[in-house]
Order: sequence, then structure tokens, then C-alpha cells
Amino acid sequence: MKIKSWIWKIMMLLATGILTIISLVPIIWLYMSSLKSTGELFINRWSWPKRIAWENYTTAWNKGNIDLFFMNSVIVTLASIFAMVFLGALAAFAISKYTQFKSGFYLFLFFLLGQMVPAQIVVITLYLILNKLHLLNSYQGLVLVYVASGLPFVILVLQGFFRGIPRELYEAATIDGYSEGKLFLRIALPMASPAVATTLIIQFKYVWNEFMLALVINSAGQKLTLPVGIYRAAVTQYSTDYGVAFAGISIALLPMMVFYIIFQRFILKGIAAGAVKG
Amino acid sequence: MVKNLMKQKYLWLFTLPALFVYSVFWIVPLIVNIPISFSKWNGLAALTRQDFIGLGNYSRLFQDKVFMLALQNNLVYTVLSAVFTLTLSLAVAFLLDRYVRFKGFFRTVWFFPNILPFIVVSYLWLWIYNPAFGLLNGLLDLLGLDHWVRMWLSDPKIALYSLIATSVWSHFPFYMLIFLAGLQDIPKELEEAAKIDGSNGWRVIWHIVLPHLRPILAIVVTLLIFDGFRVFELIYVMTNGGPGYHSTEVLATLMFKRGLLDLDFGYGSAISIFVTIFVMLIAAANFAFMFRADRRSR
Repeated sequence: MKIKSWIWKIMMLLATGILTIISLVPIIWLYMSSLKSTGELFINRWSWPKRIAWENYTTAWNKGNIDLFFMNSVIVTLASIFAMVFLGALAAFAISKYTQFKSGFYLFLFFLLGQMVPAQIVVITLYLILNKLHLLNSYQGLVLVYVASGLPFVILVLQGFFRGIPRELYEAATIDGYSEGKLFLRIALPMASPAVATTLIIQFKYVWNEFMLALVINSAGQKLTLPVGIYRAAVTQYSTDYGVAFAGISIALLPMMVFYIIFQRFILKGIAAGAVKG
Repeated sequence: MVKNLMKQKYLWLFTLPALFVYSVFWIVPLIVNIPISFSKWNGLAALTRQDFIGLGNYSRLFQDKVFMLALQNNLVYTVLSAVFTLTLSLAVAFLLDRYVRFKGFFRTVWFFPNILPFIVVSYLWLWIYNPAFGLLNGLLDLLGLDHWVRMWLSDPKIALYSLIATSVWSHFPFYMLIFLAGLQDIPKELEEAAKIDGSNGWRVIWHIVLPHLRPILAIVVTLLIFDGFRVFELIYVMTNGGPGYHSTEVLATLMFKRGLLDLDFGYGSAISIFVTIFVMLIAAANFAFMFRADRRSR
């Protein structure tokens, strides 16, 4: 069953081309379409817009309230990732350092449990609990939920890195008078900064794009995050004004794209490393 | 005992904040789900003893035609998207690892669909599948294949499969990355030794590469199963369970509708617990299967 090598090479080339096309064309088409007025969208599917309809973007930003949703997402995402990484690092540090106690191991298992829990099982009861605590439709409620859901992953990854820190470093510093807290802040954290950065980035992707929890918890009022807001706007207000809807989607997409282009090394490495280790 | 605890004070001090947030906002909801699933509650009045209906919600599950349909749809969705995603991602990982120059560049480009927020993916494909003005039918027209033109999302018979295609497009780069990491892990000497011994390409793959990938395959299949039964936003945004009589209804969307929209929290909880147990069983079976085969080959 010998295939001539040049046929093989051509097939590989074709595969490469097709993959690149299907990866990029939909998004390119999205951006092209977002710059066409809705009317033009129906006549001209393929080529460059005859007239660039910037007003799609301004309408989406202003009337569609996208500026509000964008800001909400920024606040919620940044607060969530920094909180979860800091708290997670603290816990991971303790779990990896105080291995002489069995409780550390049980704590670790307890956190690991949450990694397997999909949002589906908790969303209903979360809604009820947050309702009782008057934390629905707020920043705090959603952030707390994201932190809780993201902690297992952060702890899982960071404790692995912290374990690699040699004990002698801690011992020497303790002799020098460092408190435990200082050991964490001045030694452990800086040494694990690549892992911390990767975790921040991966969790940014998670929180920024998250839809279901945001939909349920912040469903009314002013605190909608971007994914939910876009959904509402695209499906309700602008269900017929496709040009504006596309512009809105493109705006939602932009931070993630920029983020990806800048940090793609980290993201790709982080996912691959996490998977192989796990 | 207090002395023992005092010795551990730093352990607890450092983990307490994380422990608190995690327990209150993730574990407690998980556990509270159980008593709620045994009751009939609309979330408004306080829960009283009279609201407990034992296994009532669970028996209702099996008599509920919509639930059975959702279960069936979800099974179809999970199996098909898992199979196609697995095959595609494995094939592309091979392609990337062995036959492509500028690996870094193409890896970045091909991973792109995975970073898109789901709302973007859903809306984008909603428009691609649009029968009159969308990219897909337009492309088919252009290529002269207009007999392949369909109502991709409005035809109850094929809507689910359209959704599966979108899911595969969105997910395969993630698994491609994982397989790529696994492939790059294989020591080159093993393959070269086999080649010297006379095996050609396909035999090398079958006897050396695939066994090496087995643990990763097990994890990937498990993740794909989880993904399949958890699917929500894709379906909710694109078809919301329709068209027709729940032709694309899945377990998560049904749970959302019954629990949160109909305010039948007990039933919604019962669905979510059923799904959890169901998925765990399948994942466990999958794991056992993967590792039993491993032991046999020894």
C-alpha cells in the first residue's frame, strides 16, 4: 500500500490549506459582514463592503449598551482572576509546603472534587442561594461564583509548581527571620511567576467567555456581562439588524483576539502542559 | 487535639479564604441540590416538610417524553461530536507533528476557533447556516452543488447534526493541542528503532505511537463525554431546543427551562443529579475499558 511521496505531499498541503481556511474564513467573513449595512448584507454576501458602515459599530456600542457590558465584563473578569489566583496561590502554597500534616492532603482532595463539577449541577441551587443572600445581579455575587469555580484548577496547577521549590530555600529564609507570609510573598510567588501568569491567562479566557452562570446570576439590570449582553442585544433588540449585531459580536471578540495574539504562547503551552500532567 | 491544630495553624490560615469561598459558593450548592431534588418547590415560599415528595421527581423523569427525547438527543450529540472531534484532532495533530513546516504558526492559526467566546461561535454559525443569506448555502451555490442546500437549522431532522458540526469546529483545536503534546512526548529512538527493524509508516503508528497515546486518549475521551453532556450555550443560543418538537433539546437546556424558567426547582435539580450520575458512570466505564485493554496487551 505504498503511496507515492509526492501524492502524499500534495495531500498534506491540501489538508493544511483547508484547515487554515476553515479556521480563519468564518471570522474574516464576520468582520467583513460587520462593516456592511444590513441592507447590503442581503445583496452582497462575498466581497468587500461597497461602503464601510462604521455606524454599525457606533450603534452597537451606544444604543446596544455594549459599552456597559464591556465594562462589566472587564470588572468581573479582572476581579475574579486576581482573586482566584491569589487565594488559590495561598492555598496551594500551604498544601505543597506543610506536607507533614494529613489534613493538607484531604484539603487538596476536597478542592480537586470541584474540578469535576460542571456548572450545570450547581447553577440552580446557586441561583437560590444567591437570591437568599441578595447577591443576584451584582458584581460581587458573580465574582464570588467565578472564584469558587476557578479555584480548583488554580490550586491544582500551582501546587505542582510550588512543590518544586527546594526546602532549603525556605529553611534558610526562616533562619534569616522570614515569617511564613514573607516566605510566600517573597520566595514562593516570585519563583512560580510563569505558572501564575499562565493560570491568570487561562482563567481570563474562562471567565471572559463564560455564559451560563452569568446568564442565570446577572440576568437583569445593569450588571450583564458581555456574552449575556450580546446575546440579549443580538436576539432581542437587533434580531433583524444583522449588521449591528455582527458589529456587537466583533466587539465582544476583540479583547479575546488581542489577548490571544499577544499571549498565545502561554495559552497553548499552559493547556498542553496541564493536560499532559493531568 | 487543640495543640495539634495549633501546629497546623499556617496550613489552615492560608487555605481558609479559598476554602471559604469555594465551600460556600460551589460545594454547598452541590450538596443542597440533593434535598431539593426530593421536593417540589417554586423557590418563593420557604421549603417545608410538606414539599418533600421523595423520589417523585425521579420517577417523573422516566415518564417524561421530553426528558427521554432530550436524553436521546444528548447521547447522539455526545457520541457523534466525540467521534468526529477525536478523529479530526488526532489527524491534525499528526499532520502538525510530522508533515508541516512552520509548526508554531499553523498551531496558532488552527487553534483560533477555540478561543472564540461561545456567543460568537453560536451567532457566527447561526448566520453561516442561514438558508437564504448564509455562507454555507452561498458556497454550495457557488460550487454548483445547490442540490446540497438545506435548511440547516430549521429542519428538525438535521438541526442536531448542524449543531454537532459547529461543536466539532469549535472544540477540535483544544484536543489537537493535547494530542500534539502527547506526540511530541514520544521518544524518537523508539520510532527509529522500529523503522530500522523494517516496519513502515502505518505499522509504526499502530504499534508504537497509539499505545503511547493510550492514557491521553482515555483522558480525551472522558473530557469529550463530559463536554457532550454539559453542552448548553451552543444549543441555547442557536436553536433553544427547537425547531419542531424539541428536536435539539438536550439535558442542560431542559434543566434550564424546567428548573429556572418554569420555576420547578425540584425537577430541575433531579435532572442535574441524574445527568451527573449518568456521566460519572459512563466516564468510569470508559476508564475501565481503556485500562483493561492495557492490561491484556501485557
